[in-house]
Amino acid sequence: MDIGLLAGLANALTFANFGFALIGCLLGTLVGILPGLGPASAMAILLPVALHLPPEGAIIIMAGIYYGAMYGGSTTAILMNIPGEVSSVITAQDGFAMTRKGEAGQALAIAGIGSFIAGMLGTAAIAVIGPKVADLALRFGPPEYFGLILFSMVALVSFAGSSLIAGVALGVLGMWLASVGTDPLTGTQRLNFGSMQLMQGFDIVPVLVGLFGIAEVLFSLEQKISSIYSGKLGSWLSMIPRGAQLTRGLWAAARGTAIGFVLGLLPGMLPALTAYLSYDIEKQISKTPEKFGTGMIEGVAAPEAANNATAMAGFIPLLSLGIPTSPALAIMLGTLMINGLTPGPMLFQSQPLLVWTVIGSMLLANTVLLILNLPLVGLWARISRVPYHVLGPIVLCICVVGAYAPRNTMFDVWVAILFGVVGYVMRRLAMPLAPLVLGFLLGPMFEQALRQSIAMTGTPAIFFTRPISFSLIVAAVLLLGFTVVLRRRSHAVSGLIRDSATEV
Amino acid sequence: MRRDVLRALAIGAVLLPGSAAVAQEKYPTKPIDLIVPFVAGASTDSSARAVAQVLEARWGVPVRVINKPGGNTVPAVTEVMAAKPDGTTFLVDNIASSAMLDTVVKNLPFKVTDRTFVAVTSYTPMMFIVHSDSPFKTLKDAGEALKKDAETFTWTSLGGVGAQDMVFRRFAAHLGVDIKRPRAIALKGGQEAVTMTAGGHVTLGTGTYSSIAAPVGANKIRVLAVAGPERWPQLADVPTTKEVGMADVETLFWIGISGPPALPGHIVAAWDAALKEVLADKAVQEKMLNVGVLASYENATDMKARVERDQKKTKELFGQ
Repeated sequence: MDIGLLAGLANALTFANFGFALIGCLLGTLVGILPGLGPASAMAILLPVALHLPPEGAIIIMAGIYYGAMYGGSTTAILMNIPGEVSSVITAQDGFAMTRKGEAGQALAIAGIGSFIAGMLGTAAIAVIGPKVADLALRFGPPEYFGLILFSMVALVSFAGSSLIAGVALGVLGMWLASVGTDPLTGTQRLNFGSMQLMQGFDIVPVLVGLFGIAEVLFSLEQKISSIYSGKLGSWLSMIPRGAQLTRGLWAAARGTAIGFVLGLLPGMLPALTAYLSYDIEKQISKTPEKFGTGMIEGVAAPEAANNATAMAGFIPLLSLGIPTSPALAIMLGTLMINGLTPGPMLFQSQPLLVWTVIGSMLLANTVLLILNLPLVGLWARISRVPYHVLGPIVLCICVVGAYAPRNTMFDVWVAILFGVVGYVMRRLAMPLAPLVLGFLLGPMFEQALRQSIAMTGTPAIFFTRPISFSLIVAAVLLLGFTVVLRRRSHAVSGLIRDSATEV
Repeated sequence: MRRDVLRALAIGAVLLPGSAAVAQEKYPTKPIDLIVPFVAGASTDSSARAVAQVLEARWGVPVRVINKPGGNTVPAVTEVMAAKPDGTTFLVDNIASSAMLDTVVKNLPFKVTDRTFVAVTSYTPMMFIVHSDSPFKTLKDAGEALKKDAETFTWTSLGGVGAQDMVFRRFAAHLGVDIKRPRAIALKGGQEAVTMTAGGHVTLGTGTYSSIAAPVGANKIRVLAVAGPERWPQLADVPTTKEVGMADVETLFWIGISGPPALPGHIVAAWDAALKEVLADKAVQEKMLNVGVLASYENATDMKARVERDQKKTKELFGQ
């Protein structure tokens, strides 16, 4: 008996399942918009409800939340420079710049379309190649991760800011901040200076909310702007990207999807990292790299597609090997297991209809999200014209609530305010934020991969004896050398890099 | 039927003013919070939810499962220790939040055995696993390799004091190998330990059934032995550590219920009676097995004895 995608799609389209997809997507979009409440926490809150639903319904609703949050995270990033999710940090760069130019609608629309493309291509990839590539996830041991992270750091830091040294220093500072608190591997306390609160370390959400959202308000206050955009916006139809702009956006989304999907197969891969990498690639292949940061549509489409593709790709190791690649997918695994389903290749054989229904529901959820989001574009875009003396306090309020929400402690609110000041000062001094945020994000992964690799044999030689890890390290070194030479040789290039860093 | 009788008794108790002793017996009347010291979706959480659902139907009061993860379980335990002993707040207790805790965290704001133990509800044994291409077919093979060539032998450690580390330390102690000789690969969580083993990056791994079920099904890993008192239902052909002559390696991650200090006897009795019956229910047992734990009832006295035993063993293996 052959059960394929069509049967699954038909099953996903039953009235009840469609309703579950709709509810999941709405809830997901909502938690995505609120900074601090990510897909993992929303799914955890809803887990008890899911216990009472039929297996398909439970899984569909969870998948809806998961995708919805990926969509929703970009909305506040584009409109107010508050990344709702970590993965929207980079979207804010050109997305918010577009809002300031009066193109909020176009930015939101391309973010939605980009996510949709990634969702659709991603689902197709899952259905076609599915379990065959799952083994890739297992090949990556600690040395391979070390190589990958090293390469990513070099790629991203080398092009951020006018000075390589400053970029590296900020990256290291970010890593240092991330290492405060409990050592993730041994549970030892470090850098807490005897403080109970520092024992928990800095949570990523208050740090981001501060560096971006609060710093933005402080900066706007100083500039005495009356609203983010004061011109005319035009009709809803005029906000939907078209012509050359649309084509550029679509191609960027396709490239973002490819990068996000391939890297997303690895366990522990952060959607934020693939978003950064795809943004960086867009900038490098662009004919006008100097315009990035001033509202380039590629700068919104590529990272949004990439983080969505990463989210999709995570389903392959989850369904075929039972390996969750993120906290949200770990809850998904819990949902499957509570319903008596053990993921693995056996799942495809023992429960084909269910697996294909899940895959069918991915198509459904992505379509529902596009239908939900596109009409709202016009409404959201109006926010950019709200007078700043009204909008500013609202933004601050969202930031404070967002900082408080993940761990329910006032300490995190103070952290957000502190980083708000840090972000403001850095902007005044024209220092790039990207290396700091990346260091903070990748620091723990970098440290873990390094320590585990060395523990495996006792010497760093392991990085050079394993082919994947060795090639990645060589690539990182070449890239670094290339950047240094390029900066020396060409004043034009260094000028470009300097300019793009000062524009946020 | 039984519930009707209980309800009649309860109504009777309310209607009889002055019979304070009987009125006091009426429990529960208020919503109950079960504090889980781990994230939602993990085995401890899922099994607590399975029990909560049945208790809720039985008692007619909401039984809420609340997750307070992080901080080595200390925040969750502290909250329960500070709660009023009125039968509304309980801890979903386990080996990590009790027997191991005072070895893991120095200067705890409470004494581990001060809490009121109620009952053990379930357990999941640690299992020894290897990559499917590994030359080890039995735990004995792994033991010989460890004795012969400890310095290149890598194992999955979760860093601190936990069931994963405990079972390997017992294994090494059984063989008389100094624990500092093999190479510990420190990992963040149990799932990662299984992924590392399935990728062939470590010599010997450990895990619980829920985390290894999928890769076992995919033929990515082989289970060498179950460190529990009996064979695991879904792995009928895998021997226990006792069967391979290593009874002292047995390590269970058990889950139970405990309350704040000085919890009144009639509340403990009410829970004890309810749990005993709930855990004998086939549907509950099946639900627990789905999330990788085996329903297994043990009363308050046995639970306390178990904690003290595990506490001693933990100090012996990890103590300074």
